[in-house]
Amino acid sequence: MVDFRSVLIANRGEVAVRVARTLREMGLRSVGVFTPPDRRAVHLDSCDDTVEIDSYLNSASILAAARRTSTQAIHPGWGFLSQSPEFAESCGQMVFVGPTPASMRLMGNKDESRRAAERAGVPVVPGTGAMDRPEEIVAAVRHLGFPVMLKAVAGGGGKGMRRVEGPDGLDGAIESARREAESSFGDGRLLVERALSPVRHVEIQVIADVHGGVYALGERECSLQRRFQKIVEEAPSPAVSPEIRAQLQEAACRLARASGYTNAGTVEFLLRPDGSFCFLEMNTRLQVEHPVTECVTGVDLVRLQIEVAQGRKLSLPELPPRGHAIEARLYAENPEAGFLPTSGRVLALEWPTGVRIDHALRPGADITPDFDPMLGKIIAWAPDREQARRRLAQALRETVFLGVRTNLTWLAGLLETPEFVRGEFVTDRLPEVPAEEPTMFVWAAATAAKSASRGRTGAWDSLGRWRVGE
Amino acid sequence: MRLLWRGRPYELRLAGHRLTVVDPGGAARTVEIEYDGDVIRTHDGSVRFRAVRDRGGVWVWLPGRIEYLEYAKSESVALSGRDEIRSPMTGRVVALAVKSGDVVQAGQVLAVVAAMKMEFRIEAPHDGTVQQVRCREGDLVELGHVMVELR
Repeated sequence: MVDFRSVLIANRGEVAVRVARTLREMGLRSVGVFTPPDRRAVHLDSCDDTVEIDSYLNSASILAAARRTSTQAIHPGWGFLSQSPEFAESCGQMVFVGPTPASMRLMGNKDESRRAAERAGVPVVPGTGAMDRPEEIVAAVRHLGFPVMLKAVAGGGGKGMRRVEGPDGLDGAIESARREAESSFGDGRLLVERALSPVRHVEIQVIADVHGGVYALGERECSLQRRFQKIVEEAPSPAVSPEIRAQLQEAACRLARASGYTNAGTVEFLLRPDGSFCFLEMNTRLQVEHPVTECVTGVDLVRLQIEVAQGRKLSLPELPPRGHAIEARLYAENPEAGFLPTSGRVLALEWPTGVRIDHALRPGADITPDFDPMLGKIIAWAPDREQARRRLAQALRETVFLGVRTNLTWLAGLLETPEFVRGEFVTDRLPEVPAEEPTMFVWAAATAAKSASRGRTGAWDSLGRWRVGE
Repeated sequence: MRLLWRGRPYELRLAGHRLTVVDPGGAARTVEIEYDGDVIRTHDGSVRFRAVRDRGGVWVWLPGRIEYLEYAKSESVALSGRDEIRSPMTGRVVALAVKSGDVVQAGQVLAVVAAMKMEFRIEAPHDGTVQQVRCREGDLVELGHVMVELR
């Protein structure tokens, strides 16, 4: 048993808020970190202690902060250093809450993780190993046949990843994928996989302790994506029967066991309409969409991560999904302009009730292009899928977010499309969300804001209590 | 007053409680409105709302609806003018594919801008000649910054 009383959270924003919540619940001291521009960031309010660092990617600075605050463990959250084996290694005497550096190296390399899956008897997508020379990549693509996926060997989060439909776009796609891979991961090597279609993206949450206990906590359906970024996730998947779930869980556990995996991880699969599936990759960290699993299983995944890091033996019962949970990711992006990222200042913010909201925003906050465009997420749980869908759609409609364009109303529209209502969607095509002309109510509201005199309502005031003609 | 919805001009006139809106096609609609706290009432019913101004326009929230209505004067800084190729977002120029004097075809990539580590290609909207390049590789460009002038 490794006893620790305090944990440094090497992250910011909603991630830090999420981890801090569980630490508090467990009676552990939480240490938050911040860079100078984040001095007054919301996530610091959730932590018992806070300490300044140079950058969320600077491991030396983070480790120095941990020593200064006598912290005994580090939780990396997701993003930033969460999948850096070097960082996990450099924690030394401190406990890194996550898998071993060896597991992170294995799964962080798309080439080696494919081989590990094959060795564990888990089917993989037809494809190649790592390649460096563009000519070699072109030849491999010709051999596999279009459409293909180009993937950065060191990649993740959709970066350095391109789908190529035919020979026309191939050279440009190779060039830009290599550049993105080089700038994001410092490794421009790519591999090629056949782009399977139609498929769903379904992933299994696993958690493994250091005593050989490996548990699967059901699947998450993540097929709704744009540019390989997930948009809406749910648990359970409308396409997964209890039989398919058992097979997926068995495959995920087999891979985790075969590679000596510990702590939380997610095994991603592509699921074909006939129920067969292929291994895609394994993420060696907690994921953004973990709340839907928490909603339908009742477990606290951060708590399980901490318990595993403390060396405890887990003892989880079978946890078939109870009810249905759907999560919508709120992005700073403009649905009317090709979903390009947006930035600016949050002028008004009001959250709905009756749902789980994971975020770290407040009115007046600046959304900058420096970090991920995800602003937060709203998660609805209900006894069945249709009720969860309605609850989430209602929550999205009730959310007031002004000052920066977001995908909020687009998301609400997405949940009302016939495809989403039926649960029939695949990874490579998003349902069409219709746009509507402004109603007279829109113009009346705009008039109220526009005709208010500058002296009475600056850009900061909501016009809630103001009457025309007063 | 004039407000733009997705780049299209709407004319708004408020006389007492009567609001008239003329759409881009010239069709006019008039409605009696009354504001009561954060509620708008018309003969069609009542709706909760929030509205906030910023320098460029008005943000409006109604249940299920968020709109940004720009002041008409910003019409001149529309995203992509005929000859001024503007950055569609705030980000960094990671590649610049043309120089002054280059002849380009519609759809040809002029530059690549990255934000949030995602790349976006800026393509020529029509055939033409590059008149001037107004950014360098590595520059941070604001939304609407003129990157390339085409003729």
